[in-house]
Amino acid sequence: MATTGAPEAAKIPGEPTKTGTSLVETATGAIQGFAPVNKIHQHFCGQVEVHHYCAHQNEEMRQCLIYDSEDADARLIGVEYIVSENLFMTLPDSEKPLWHSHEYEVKSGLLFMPGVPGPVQRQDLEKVAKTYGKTFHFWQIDKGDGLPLGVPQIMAAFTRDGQLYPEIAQGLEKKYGVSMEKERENREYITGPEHGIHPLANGKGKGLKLELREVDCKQPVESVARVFV
Amino acid sequence: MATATAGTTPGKPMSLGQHILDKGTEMLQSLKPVKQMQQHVCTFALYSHNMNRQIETHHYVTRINEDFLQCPVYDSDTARARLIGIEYIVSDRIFETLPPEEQKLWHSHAYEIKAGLWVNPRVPEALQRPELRNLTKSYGKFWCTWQTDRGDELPLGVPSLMMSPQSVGSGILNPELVKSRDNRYGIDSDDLKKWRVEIEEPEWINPNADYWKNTGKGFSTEVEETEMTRKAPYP
Repeated sequence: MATTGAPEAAKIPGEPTKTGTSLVETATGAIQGFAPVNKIHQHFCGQVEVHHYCAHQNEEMRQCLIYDSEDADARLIGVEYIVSENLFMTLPDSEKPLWHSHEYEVKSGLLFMPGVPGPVQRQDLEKVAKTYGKTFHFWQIDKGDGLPLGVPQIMAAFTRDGQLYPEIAQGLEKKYGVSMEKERENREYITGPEHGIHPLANGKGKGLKLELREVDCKQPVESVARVFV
Repeated sequence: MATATAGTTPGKPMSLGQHILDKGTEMLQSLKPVKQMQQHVCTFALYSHNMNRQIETHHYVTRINEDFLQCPVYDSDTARARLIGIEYIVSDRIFETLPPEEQKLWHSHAYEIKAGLWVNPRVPEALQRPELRNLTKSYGKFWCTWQTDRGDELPLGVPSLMMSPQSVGSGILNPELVKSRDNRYGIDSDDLKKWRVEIEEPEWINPNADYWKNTGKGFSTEVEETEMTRKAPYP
């Protein structure tokens, strides 16, 4: 993150992994199957440097893990679901404000796939520009949190010029050797959702935040006896 | 149940073109963060706001350091698995440093491990043992983002806070749920429980965790409208 001018990533507290622990994990890693995560094929980078690792559920839906870097010790900060315009239209109206459009992020060059040649990227981005996404972050690294604290944040997308600080964009351009201006031109021809961006999407233009409310779940356990077996 | 018979996500099947694109980008990209997942854990979780709703979960665990793990959680272990949330796991050392308000959102792991509910499918019990010893003292915070157990074909609503199974009250799991998992993997949680008697119980489980146990209260998540900030938070 240093290149973007952001503060040094807060260090996650904790001891370095002990050799014993990592030995066991190497062994389990060799034995176990990882079908769900082996489906992850795509890496997108966007906005305030977050990295999306995406798997297709089918042609019209992807599910993505969001990390704060592209390194081995990257922090898992959230998830994003991406659906086609078609599927978005089937969502109840009360659900639609939780989803954001991708047209601007694609067309502006903000969203890109590190290491993938422009023409190949654009084949996929043509599709992404027509989609809607729903993103939650569970770890506010932008606030400097060293641990995932508090309640999830629902993330909005950039929807027009002037919402991103130019320093951030410049940092990304330098780090990944991309030019957003040039990409913007290359992506000129790409079009957004067929029916236009839905007026209920993007929080209906409002910011959204999540709050926890205490509810009765059941009667408390009379005596908290700590008997395990 | 959300598991063996995973529902289908609506949408057209993957086109050949998309398959080729995905393969191509995969070859070009490093995907380092997702290649760090070293453990597949299968266990169970309960919705904090309604503990009668209980699900089987599949955690793909990455250890960041000795005291901190992060896991995407899926509803099965197949290639069609749906991503239903994220769990963070911290050691007791870290947990004790959290503010009490934060501790209320976390659950303990001792019971589900001791009871043989928490398993690493296909890993011999003896190999699993040292890690299980570590984890009995850990706490988790699990946000569920896709309620596939109620039949949601697409992820609807906002994340729900999840709790862990416990030996008492609303924390008791439906035995059918456990049996179905056990049958699928050819294991017997009751046998594992006997094996795990020798794993020591933690001397102390912080009573702020498993908040419902002392209070009978759970948490439900709600959306509120706020003023939108005009620019991205900087940094």
